[in-house]
Amino acid sequence: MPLFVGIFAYSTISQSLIHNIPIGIIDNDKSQLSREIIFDVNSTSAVEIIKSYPSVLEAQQDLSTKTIYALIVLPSNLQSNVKKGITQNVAIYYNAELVFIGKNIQSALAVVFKNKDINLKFAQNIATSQNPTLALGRSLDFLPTIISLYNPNSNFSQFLLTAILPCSWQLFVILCMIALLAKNTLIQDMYLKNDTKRFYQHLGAKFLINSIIFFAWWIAMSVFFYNLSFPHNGNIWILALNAIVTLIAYNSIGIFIYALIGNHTRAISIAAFYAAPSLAFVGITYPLNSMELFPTFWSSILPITRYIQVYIQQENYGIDNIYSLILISQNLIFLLFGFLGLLIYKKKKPI
Amino acid sequence: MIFDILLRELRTIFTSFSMMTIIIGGNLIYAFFYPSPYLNDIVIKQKIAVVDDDRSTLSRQFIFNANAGAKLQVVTITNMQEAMNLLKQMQIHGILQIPRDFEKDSIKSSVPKVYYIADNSYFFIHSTIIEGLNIAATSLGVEIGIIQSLYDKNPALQDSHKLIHWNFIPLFNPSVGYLNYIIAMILVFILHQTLLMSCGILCGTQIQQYKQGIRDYFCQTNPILVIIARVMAFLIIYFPLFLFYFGFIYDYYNLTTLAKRVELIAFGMAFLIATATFGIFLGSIFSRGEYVPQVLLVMSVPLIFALGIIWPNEMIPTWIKLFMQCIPITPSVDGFVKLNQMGADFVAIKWDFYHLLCLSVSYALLSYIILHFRFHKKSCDE
Repeated sequence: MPLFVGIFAYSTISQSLIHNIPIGIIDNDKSQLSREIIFDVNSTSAVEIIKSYPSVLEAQQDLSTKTIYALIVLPSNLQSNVKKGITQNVAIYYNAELVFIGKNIQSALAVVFKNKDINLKFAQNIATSQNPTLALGRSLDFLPTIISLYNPNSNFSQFLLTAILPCSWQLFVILCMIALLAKNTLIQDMYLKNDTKRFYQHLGAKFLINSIIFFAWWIAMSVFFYNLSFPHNGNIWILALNAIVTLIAYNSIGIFIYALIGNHTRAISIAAFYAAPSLAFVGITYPLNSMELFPTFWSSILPITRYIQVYIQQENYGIDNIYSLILISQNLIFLLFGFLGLLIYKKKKPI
Repeated sequence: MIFDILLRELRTIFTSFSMMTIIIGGNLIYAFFYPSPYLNDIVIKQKIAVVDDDRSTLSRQFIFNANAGAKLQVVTITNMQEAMNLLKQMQIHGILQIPRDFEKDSIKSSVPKVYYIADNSYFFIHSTIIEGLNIAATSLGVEIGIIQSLYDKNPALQDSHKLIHWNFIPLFNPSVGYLNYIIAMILVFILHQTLLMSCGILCGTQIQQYKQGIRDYFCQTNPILVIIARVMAFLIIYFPLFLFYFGFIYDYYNLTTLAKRVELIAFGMAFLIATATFGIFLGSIFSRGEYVPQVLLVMSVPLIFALGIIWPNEMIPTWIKLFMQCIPITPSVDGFVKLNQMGADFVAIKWDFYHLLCLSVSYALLSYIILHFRFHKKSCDE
């Protein structure tokens, strides 16, 4: 099952870069300039003009059925007005309901249009000044260079897989821990609780089995990331320690929940409530600093939040180990739940 | 006959603790719990540091512009080394570097380079920072234009105005925020998952009971009647929840609700029926009550990403798309989003509607076959 989840998640976003998103155009000008704009838009890899419409009315239906994700409307007399120096309005409607796709389209088109602006100004300035250097300087004040650290191509699968897979991993850890505990029949349970030594041995064995299985999965996950050539600047021992502490933390919480509830199906619903929505709370898809008090609190009681922070700090930034160790040690607090769970489990009469 | 089964189904559901936790607890709590990270809707005030090697009026103006916008907050002005350290400690997420002679060069018409450095480990922080800096730069461009024309002793501002005003108009989600994007979809998803889980628990538990030798109404009558009664039972429970979600919760989070009532309810019924039959199908495959919720839980995150909302449909491989077509959530989210968020007509989503009906019929038939073999084949042998 973890393998299927991994493959499913990976292949969904394996293309990793957005390209050739279909958009539409309305060209009311049909001039040299409008053809140039269409050519420039088509030449970016992110979008592709698939259809040209006579008016907005026809395009509307396609926009709301997601056949096209954006619509560029070039007004009539665009070329002649630009040459006369009259500011022209070009409207670009884009589907903002799909925020991620919308933002991608917007930034791709913004680059194209910025270049077009410089082009047009240059043409205008060179006509008056006849000096290419001066004309260029006039058309362009300064050149912003964007440096995207740690993920220069905005690789979507690097961004998301490093969050999705650990989040699925922690869910598996806690569910399996509970499933292992719940395997005992009532009679076994009764028998074990009368014999303290066997009880601890038994529980310890389950704890260990679960940890080993999921540590193996963690290694598989790391090798997979390595093969995808995601950045790996980190110290491998720190990362392994991080994984082990997170693993133990989730095991402890699993024991605690099962001990408290004492029923497999119910324990699963509680564990799921706790761990399943973690992707929303870890701060990858939506930044932690824009959340309010309650979600910030919730994300702080999920060990996976700190696991991912350490992962990013180590692999992407290659930061000093001491910062990561502080974060990892914070996860050790969750071990207390394990001991607490143990006590409750021991004391509790089988239902 | 069928009402008799219906009553017994309802009684089983209402007396089962785990099903009631999922149905009532799950739906009510999740409706408030899951959207909580996104309540602020848009990302603002991202912290950046500035490395100002020019220290001129113009560079200070640039910093002021950046700080004045809603998207950015300049926390410190420092050197590059210190700024990178802050970034690695996650104190800031971006750096604006202004080179030496920035003011002189930009007015004297050579082209200086300005660096926008942002941490792309977090996509939305990155895009917010770049957007914020671009806005600051655009307004700075106008000021540079004015200064340039003063130097030319030609105060005509004609040169500095824009020739084409590129006007980006966001459709369907004016704030380009997270609420209409994620939450509108997640709410449907929560209904879908909890319905499948409770259906799965019900069916799985009955199969377990059957194995333990308990013979009750579920194996003594024709499976088709049981299936119909079960779908009706879940409709009775979930219809009020559906109304609560689409009537109250959508309004509560200020989501756009463009759909017409009749259309929404018609589509909602199809959604509930298809999901319930799928739940019965899932529940009858697995032999225990605990399996369905677990499978659904671990699959939920991958499913959300394969829906074609976050990651565009055009980029998803075919086998995943085919797989997704078999799950009722795909046409449902598609239809609900189009109806409610994009204001499409019912005609535009009629294929989603037929798709759901198709799924309902096929899953009802499949579960009939499975249940028949599970309960009736054996009892004939005995």
